[in-house]
Order: sequence, then C-alpha cells, then structure tokens
Amino acid sequence: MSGPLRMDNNHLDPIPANAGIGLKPQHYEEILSLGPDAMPQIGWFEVHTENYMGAGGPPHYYLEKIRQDYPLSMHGVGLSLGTAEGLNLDHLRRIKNVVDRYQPALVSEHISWSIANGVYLNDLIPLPYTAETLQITCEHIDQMQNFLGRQILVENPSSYLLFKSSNMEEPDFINEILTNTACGLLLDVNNVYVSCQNHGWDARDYISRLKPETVGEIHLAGHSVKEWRGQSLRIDDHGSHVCDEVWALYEYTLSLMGPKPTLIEWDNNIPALITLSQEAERANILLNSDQCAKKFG
Amino acid sequence: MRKKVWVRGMATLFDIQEGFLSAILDSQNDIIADEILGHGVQERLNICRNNTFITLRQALAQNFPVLCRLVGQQFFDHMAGKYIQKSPPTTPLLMTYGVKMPEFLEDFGAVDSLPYLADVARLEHLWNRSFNGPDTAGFDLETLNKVDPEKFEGIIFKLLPNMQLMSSIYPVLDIWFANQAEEGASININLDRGPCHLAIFRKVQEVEIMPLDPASHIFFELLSAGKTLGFATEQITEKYPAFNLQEALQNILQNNLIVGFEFTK
Repeated sequence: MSGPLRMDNNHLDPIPANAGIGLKPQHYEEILSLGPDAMPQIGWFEVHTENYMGAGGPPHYYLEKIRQDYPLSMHGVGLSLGTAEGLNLDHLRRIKNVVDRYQPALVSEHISWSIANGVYLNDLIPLPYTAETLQITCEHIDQMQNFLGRQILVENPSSYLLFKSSNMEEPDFINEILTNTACGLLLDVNNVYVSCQNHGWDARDYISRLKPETVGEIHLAGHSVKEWRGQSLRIDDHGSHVCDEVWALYEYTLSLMGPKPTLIEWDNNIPALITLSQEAERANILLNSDQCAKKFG
Repeated sequence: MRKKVWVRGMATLFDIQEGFLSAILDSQNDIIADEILGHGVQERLNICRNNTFITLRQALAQNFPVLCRLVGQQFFDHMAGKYIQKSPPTTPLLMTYGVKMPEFLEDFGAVDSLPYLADVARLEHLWNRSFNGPDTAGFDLETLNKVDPEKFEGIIFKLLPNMQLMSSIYPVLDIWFANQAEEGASININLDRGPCHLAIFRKVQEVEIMPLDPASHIFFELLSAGKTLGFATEQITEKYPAFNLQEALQNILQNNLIVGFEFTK
C-alpha cells in the first residue's frame, strides 16, 4: 500500500449506525417534498455509483438536493475488482469524478467480477478462491483506494456456483482481503444467507468468522427461490421484503458486531417509499434493541 | 468465440473468465462446466446467463421505450437478446447502452416491414444523450445587444451543449409523440408525410424535441460545428436562397438555445 489512507472517511457527514435505503428515481419528488423530519426512519441514502455518471441531467439535479439533507453512500456495481485483465481505468476515473462531486461518507464495490475480454456482463459473478485471485483482487482494491485517496468497503458475494479450483473458504478469502488491503467489509447478510443455503454452509459460522471491527456497513435485501429437481436455489434479486430468516441472521450479526449502518436494498419491483421506510424501521428497532445497545452502546 | 481446452486445475483466472464469457454470451457451457463444482452445473450457468440477459434487456427497454412499445414486449425481448449477443456492453455505463441499435435494426431482417424503426431508435438514443448530457448555465441576452453589428458576421454561437440533431425520411417525431400517449390510444401516422429534421435538447430538466425546416437544420448543424454566423448564412443561402437569417436567429434566441458566443480570431 503506497501513501497514507484515511481509515475512517467519517470526516464528511458520517453515515450513522441506523437504517438507510437505496435512492430510486421514482421516489425523488416524494423524498424532497416530505423532508427528513417527516421520515425519521430513513437516516441516509445509498445510490448506485453508475447511475450518476452522466454529465448532467435530472439524476444530478435530485441527488444534489437530497445530498443536502442526508448522508450518502455510493455503491458501485461495475468496476469488476476481480477481473483478470486489469481494471477499466476510464471507469475508475468516472467513479472518482462522482465521488469527488458528492463526497459520500461510504464508497463500496464487490468481491466479484463482471468484465472479461472487455465485455461487461452486468452481473456480480463469483470468483474462484485461490491465491491468484486473492492477489489480483487485493491489487485492484489497492489501486482503487489509492486512486480515490480513501478507504472503500467491499461486499461479500451471493453465489449459486463454486469453482473446483477454490482452495479457500469464502470467509477466509474475505478475511485475507481485509488483512492485505486497508479496505473494510460491506457485510451483505442476505448474500451470506443465500450463499450458505445454496452451498450447504452454516450462515452463523460464516458470520462469526468475520472481524466485527472491519465491518463498515450491512446490507439487507429480499431474494427469490427457484425450485429445480426437488432442490431449491436461492437467487439474490433484491425484489421483495427481507425474509424472516435473514432478519434473524441480522439480529445474530448485531449481537456479535454491535450497531452498524444498515441498508435496505430493493432494486427490482420497487415498492412505495412507505414500504421501504417500514423495512428501515424494522432494522432500526433491532439496531436500538437492548441486546444490541447494551453490549456495544 | 475461440474454443479453448485446458487441463483441469491448471486454468488461470483469465481462462475461467474467458470460458464463462463464452457460456453466457454464446451458450458454450462445455468450456467452463468442468471448472464448476457439484451437480446441476448447466442450471447454475443458466442462472448467470439469465442475470446478464434479463438485466441488459431491461436496460435496453429503458433506453428505447418507444421502440419497445412499437414492436411489443415479447418481440423486443427477442430482438434485444440478439442485440446483446452482437453488441454486448463494453462499459459498465448502461445509461446509453444501445448506441448501435439503429444499425442493428437496419440489418435485422425480421423488422424489414417497419423501416422507420432504425430512426425511432436513433431519436431515442439522442433523447437519452440529451437527458444525460451536460447541464447549462443561463445566458443573458443583453450581452448580445452590446455587440457591434459590424462584428456579427464573425460571431460563433455556442448552442446548448446537450443539443443533438437528426434527420429522417420518416415522420419519426409524429411516431414518437403518438407513443407517449396512454397505451391503447388510437395512433394515426401518415408515413408518406416526408422527411423531418429535429433538434433534441434539454434546457433544465425536460428533454424537448423541436422540428426544424431543412434550412434551419443546416443552420443548426453549422453553428454546432463552431462555424461563424457569416459562414453559416453564406452556405445556407447558396442552397436555400429564401433562408431568413432574422427568423432563424430569433428562433434560437427566443427558445434560449444558446449558452454563449465568441468571435472568430
């Protein structure tokens, strides 16, 4: 790692350890007209970095306004940190431009890949967990952090397939990344649940192997179940309510880690703002519960 | 996609990702299937393929809503699937994905009977570019009043930086407008109405589409290319002697289509 990186980016409008939601265009007007006082359940917003990479236009108009009232997290889906062919530098520059413009408290990306032969597959595809992959991913995380001049968080993947060449377990691979780079973890509890169900892993064991101090944010989302040959595969589609099993796993996570900024992620079949704010309130209740607060408050 | 064989366990990350790409884009599962653990490998790969195709089709449907409405969702999905295979995105920036859609439609035999589709796609792509294009600061017309009339010939106007221009032999603006209405409203388009010329731009938030007469279209094109007012006028009057500079200028100024001006050096 060359050059000093601020490990905490909370010098700018920190993200509080309460619930936030993903910002969607269909809610822009309502959010602005209600104002933060009318929506105390929503403490902050997260956007997909790629949606604000245009030169101008309505997306920027609204984000500028909403940014004035709320802390912001920028969550990228397109850099492909695990690509074998080197990062797309044009895209890295685009990320820096929007990050410089909006000064988000959190910037995140994924432990996955989506670019091969210069083609962008628009999916967060899992990696084989090998020494080679670890080295490539860590180099790219270093490169991104140095280019942005700040810490990033990386998100654990959801997966429905594993590679034969993997010789490391996923939580160990993640811990190696966190040890070798100065990045933090965006712990997606739904992804942990989905992957563990799909691969027969123990979700509580997975989470207990992660280091609480590395976790900078939590994601919660809904997923769907696909039945096939009498078996079920869980697909992480962010298109429904967080399920009870994931809420229970979230509660367990908080009991180990204490309160963390928690995002309700809902990207498909987007519901009314009130539904998102109710999901956020459910997370807030757990974040402020005696069990969570006593231990860590 | 070139076919590759490697010894199991020796595949590098690059090999795996290249094999995966073949599986997703060309359904060549055999290259990568041997690298994947457990049973149901084909189904697992299909989930990946679906993720890519469904989300990219959604991106195209979002970028070409009128096109989608004209051909219907089911056919659009089929067409979009072919487009994705032919021109997969080469950047994670999907807000303008589909730049090659007009050319694709010109070569796509299944839509031969709808020859205007390519120009509708062109209009939608330009609409999108204007929507996401640079914002503009206001311009004070008073500054123009102070210019010495003798210097007018050498003036170079800067038009809205998100302005896009296009021409079509089909009435694409009529088609576009008809398809903004509620689904089910009656649509009556005269395809023989003759060519149309359009300026697509955004002053604040709303994208606007303005029809232009042929002379004004050339005028806008020359100004966009950074030509002086004198040069533009000379070029147009050669072809359109009746060109009325006064009217054309008023059109630009009254509609707030310029953001500044400078003089030729």
